[in-house]
Amino acid sequence: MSSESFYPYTTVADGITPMFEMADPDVRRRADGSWDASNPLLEQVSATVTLDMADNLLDTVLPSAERKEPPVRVLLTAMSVASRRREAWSFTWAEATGGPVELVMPRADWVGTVAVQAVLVRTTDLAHPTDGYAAAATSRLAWSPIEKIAFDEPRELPPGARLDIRWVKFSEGNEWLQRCRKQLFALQYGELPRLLLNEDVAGLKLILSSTGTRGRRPRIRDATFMQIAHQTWSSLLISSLTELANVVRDDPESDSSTLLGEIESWRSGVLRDWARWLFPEAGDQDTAITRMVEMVRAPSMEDLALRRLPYAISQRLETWKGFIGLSREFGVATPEEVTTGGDN
Amino acid sequence: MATTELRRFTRMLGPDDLPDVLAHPSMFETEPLGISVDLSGALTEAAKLIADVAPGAPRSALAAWDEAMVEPLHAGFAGVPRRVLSDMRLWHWLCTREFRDFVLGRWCSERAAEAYDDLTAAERGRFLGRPSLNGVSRNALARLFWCGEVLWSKDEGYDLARKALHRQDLFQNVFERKFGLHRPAARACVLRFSDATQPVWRSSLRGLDFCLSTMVVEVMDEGAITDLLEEFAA
Repeated sequence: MSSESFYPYTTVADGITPMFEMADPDVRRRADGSWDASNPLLEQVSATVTLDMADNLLDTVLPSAERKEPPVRVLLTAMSVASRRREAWSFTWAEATGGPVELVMPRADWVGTVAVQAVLVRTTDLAHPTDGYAAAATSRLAWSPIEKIAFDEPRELPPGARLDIRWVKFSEGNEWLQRCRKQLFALQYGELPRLLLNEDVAGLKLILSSTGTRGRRPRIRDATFMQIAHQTWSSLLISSLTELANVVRDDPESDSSTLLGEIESWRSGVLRDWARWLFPEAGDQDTAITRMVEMVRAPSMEDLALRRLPYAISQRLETWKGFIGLSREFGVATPEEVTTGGDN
Repeated sequence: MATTELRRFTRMLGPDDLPDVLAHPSMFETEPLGISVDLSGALTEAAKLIADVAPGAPRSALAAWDEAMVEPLHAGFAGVPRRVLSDMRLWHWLCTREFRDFVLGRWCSERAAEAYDDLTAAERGRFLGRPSLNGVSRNALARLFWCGEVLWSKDEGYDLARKALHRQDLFQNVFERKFGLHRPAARACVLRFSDATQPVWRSSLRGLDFCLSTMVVEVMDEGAITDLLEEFAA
């Protein structure tokens, strides 16, 4: 299920198709569909935009009496929270449909990724309100899919299953690490999260750095690793979901893509990567992400945090294998007992 | 004229970095931005506010610091490109270096101001923050600059910005919404509601937010937005 907006009047979603032609050939489309304008030598993004209107667009959104002299304008809107800016370039219907229109965005004024959208709006109030048609000036009648122009390189995202890991003597670290000096590990949240493993714990480095697949040391290694991995991903996911919830609270109307763009890139990377594990029934990643945002939107994240999250981590990392290997190695349970569940 | 050469951290700082940045500033790499500004007015004002604070004064009295700082701080950045000012690493640097004592005095408990590890998550957000609506509106200095940027006018100077900062809850409800990025919308909201009761402005801003899901704010001027607000406030 994807989220959808319902309007109290007739609208045409994706009723406008903007076709961008960039003046600078260095501004190219990336694999994700966004325009790469991150070259710092580029002084501005300059584009000609041909606006292709859906058939019978005006007939659909305006009552018949207004179609001869349509009270509309076509806008190109640009918004970027990181730039703290929203702007619109406004064109008459004749200008917008008579040939390409021009868009110039100076690099000095825009940062990060800018969402550009074509929108058809009413310019005046409807004199005689008619059922099914927008009556108020500035009403949104039709719009295009969002084009993204990236004025900066996206920051590196940590893949969901990998993490920067460092060995550190907690006893020689800052006050916070010293407080954690008896713990096996600590998570550091900076520009990117980092897993710090405690060199002070006797044997930990020896065990966790061991190679091989058989014997006591690898079994203890795997079991310890699973314990650390489960706690680490629990913390990273809860922390990322909490930040997403804060953004959703402040901006309840936006779609999942916009909301994920509002949180730190590593957090959105983590959530995108784990969405399919959190919502395996969704089928594909986009639907899983939409469901995740919907659940965060709901008043309580209890189901997500208490049920789905530990299940997803266990499923993805197969954390039970650490225990099974350990119990076999030390003869606590035979392979048959492990398979059948012991006394049962 | 005393100038400050602007710098920024080479990376975005996270909450865990803050105690170390405050205790050992040189441990964190910065880079020059090649721009010098006159922040002497803001630094002088900050020092005066810190010196004048009466022992045992209620924390609510500190809210007036924002009103006093908005003009010298915003004016000090005249001519600096938006691209530079949008970079939160600059504000992190200013909050932890040049204006560290101002941020500690304005937003942090006395205990935390002495033991940085005890700074709460909310207190850390006053030094740091991401380039999001929420992040900017919580950073002790970025919030003042962008408030001045949006609400300054030739006729009224910083009066409207001071009104917005006088009502922290109203400030957050305007500037943590996307319509707050549209200057006429932010101005109309603060003008209309700076003297209104909380229930009135809360429900009206919710109404405006809802309305803007079907209307395009970019084509609305201050008058049109004020008319809408009047309808909701009635």
